[in-house]
Amino acid sequence: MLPNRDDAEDILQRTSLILWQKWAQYDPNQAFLPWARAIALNEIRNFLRRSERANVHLSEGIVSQLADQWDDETSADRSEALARCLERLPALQRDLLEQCYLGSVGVKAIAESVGMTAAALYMRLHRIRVTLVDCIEKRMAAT
Amino acid sequence: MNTPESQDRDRLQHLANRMCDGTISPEEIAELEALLNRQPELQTRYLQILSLHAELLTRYRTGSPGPRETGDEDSAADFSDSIINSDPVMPANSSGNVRTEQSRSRWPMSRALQFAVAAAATLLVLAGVATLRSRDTSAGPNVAEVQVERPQEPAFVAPAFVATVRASTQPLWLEDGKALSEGDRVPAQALALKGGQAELVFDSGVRLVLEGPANLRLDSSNAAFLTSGRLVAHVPESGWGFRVDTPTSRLVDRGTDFGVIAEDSGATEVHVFRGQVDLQYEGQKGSAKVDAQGVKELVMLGRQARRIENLSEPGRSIKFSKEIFERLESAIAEPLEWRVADGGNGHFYQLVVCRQPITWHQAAQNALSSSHGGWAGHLASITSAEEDSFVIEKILKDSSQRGVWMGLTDVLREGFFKWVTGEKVTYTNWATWPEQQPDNFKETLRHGGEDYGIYSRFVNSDEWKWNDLSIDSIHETVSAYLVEYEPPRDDFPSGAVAHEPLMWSADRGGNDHAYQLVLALNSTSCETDRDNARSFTHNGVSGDLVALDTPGEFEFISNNVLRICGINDNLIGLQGSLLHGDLKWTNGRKVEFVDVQPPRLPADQVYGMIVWHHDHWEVQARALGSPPEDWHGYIVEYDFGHE
Repeated sequence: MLPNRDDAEDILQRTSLILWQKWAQYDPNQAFLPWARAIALNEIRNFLRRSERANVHLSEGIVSQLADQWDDETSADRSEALARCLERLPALQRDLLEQCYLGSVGVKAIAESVGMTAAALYMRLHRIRVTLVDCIEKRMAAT
Repeated sequence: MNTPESQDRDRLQHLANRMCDGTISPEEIAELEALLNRQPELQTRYLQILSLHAELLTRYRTGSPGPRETGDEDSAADFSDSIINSDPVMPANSSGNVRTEQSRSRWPMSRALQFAVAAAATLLVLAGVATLRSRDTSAGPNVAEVQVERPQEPAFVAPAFVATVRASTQPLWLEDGKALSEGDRVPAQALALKGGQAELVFDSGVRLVLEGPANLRLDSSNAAFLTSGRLVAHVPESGWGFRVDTPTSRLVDRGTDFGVIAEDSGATEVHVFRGQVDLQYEGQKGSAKVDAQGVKELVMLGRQARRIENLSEPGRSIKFSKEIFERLESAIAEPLEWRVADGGNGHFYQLVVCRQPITWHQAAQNALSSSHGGWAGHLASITSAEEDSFVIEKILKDSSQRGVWMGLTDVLREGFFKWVTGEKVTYTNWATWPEQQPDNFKETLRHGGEDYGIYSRFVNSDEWKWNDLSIDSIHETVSAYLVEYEPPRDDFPSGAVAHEPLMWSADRGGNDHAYQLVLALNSTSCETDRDNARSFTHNGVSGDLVALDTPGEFEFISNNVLRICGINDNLIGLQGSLLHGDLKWTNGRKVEFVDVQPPRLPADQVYGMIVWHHDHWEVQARALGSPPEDWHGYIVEYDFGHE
């Protein structure tokens, strides 16, 4: 069993509907993002709880821990830093990343088109991600 | 040289990357989970990698960075709605817009959605639900395809689909002649059910059971219009505000269960089972209590019913009846949580009512194969007075049933009741009136007598107490059972109830082996039983299906292990070829002394059962091709001399 898109779609759809329904309960004096995030997290927890036995996602407990550490405040800065880091990435690597994330064809097909095995392509992808993360963290630390 | 710390970090990076790719295996998920728990400092690194992944998904698949909290103040006009387009071929706007009637301009809802959906998307990435791989396997939309559109006017764009068919006995027909059946998504459209029943689950969590012939129009995931027919709605908290309109009534749900009948004549009947429903009607002009839109509201509470003839009046009160909806209502009973906050165990309990009488065994099997929120079910095990009164007060009291199966049985050994979960029977609530229970009624007339626990409501008393009944309850009709859902436990094998092993001691002429009778509730084959038998241990020794090596052993088993049990068919460790006279026990020895009754139809490859035949136990061979009945016993032997 693979994590599947229907799950993601379903959760997002439910989240937006619930927000829509609970809109009346939102207190404008309250910070908005945490409120919205709490609703989203709740939906995801319900989902994870349901799928816990299938063992295809992280558990509800660890996701809650991670969500606590998740810092929305810096997301704009991170996005900015990523843009800079992508510019510094060698063109070949950037193309590879783009193809994988555009997702118009599968990773296997991309690998074939550049004459690699899928495993080798994943390996490249892993290195690119680590490079980018290190670059972003360096920039974040500098600001 | 690699330090353990850097090894863990490398491993984490590897696993996090596989998480992004969607290529991670369940074993690796477990490893990742353990790693993150063991070394919380690695959580930061995990977050860095996964948030990069989230950002890249957003960037490349929507062509924009995620939503920002900007300071611009044209937000009052900014009603851009973020939608999730569930059908990439169809422009979202063509799927029917539902306008938001209330304009809540404190914070544009559009942006609320946008931010919350972005937050949800990120959280989904963290949990590993949104990956590269998920895109590969389908051309459909992805988590990151949160399209941001700017319609001209404030509008909530409904998704193309608003509900799912959970079950149906007949197809549901859409306007365009398409038939929907179980599992199909339902668009916001009119549909017809010609007969039978169908259950719809709206995306808001609301469940509707419809009885045909009926015509229903789905307006959104939170509103429906019943043109004709009858339905029962169960509205969870998330569906608060669900609307059901009929030609003559407007109902707004405030968290409840209720039934609606839209008659062909145009009149509507509403019966509120519990909770609150607001009945809206057009008030007389100039009268008090009418709001700006001229809408008046009448609050209906549990056990109230009304008959409404037209939209301008609230109708008249009529006699409440749950019975007229019983067939619909029973199908929809939601599992109810015994909340920890209320002193409970956090488990869920569900009353299942069948249209036909059901045996305890069938109920036990149904319960085992059902699940709720990822938790497996079993017939309820009631182990405390608190649990007992919760079940009676919250679930049984309102039901019209007289008997409800629970997970209690002494079929393995008369007088020794066991819970199907293996829990000890310490608390009991046997009825003391009119007879003290359990009374094992007419035991002498029927082999085994009454072996199964049931909640009974006794005539002339509204009290629910425990009783024991025989398997098919010849003098009662039972068509309901109580399921309990709880987290998985390691300490009991699901689908089996075992009696304590009995020792055939040497001083009684025995072999010092122990024998254990197990009731298999959802066994699929002889092999699964044997696998289970071998996985059991007793005093450090593994079991196996019994081998009858001596006449004395068979006698001991007949007289002690099986004598007062109510299971007619019991698997033993015998297999082989009948035609070649090559029957063997599980321990490798040849079958020598026992008479093996041949199978009813000629067969070569067979397995063995000890079967109750009229008035005695005998060993029967059965064709390998015909596995034991769903419900049977098996006998496990623990050979202490063997180790």
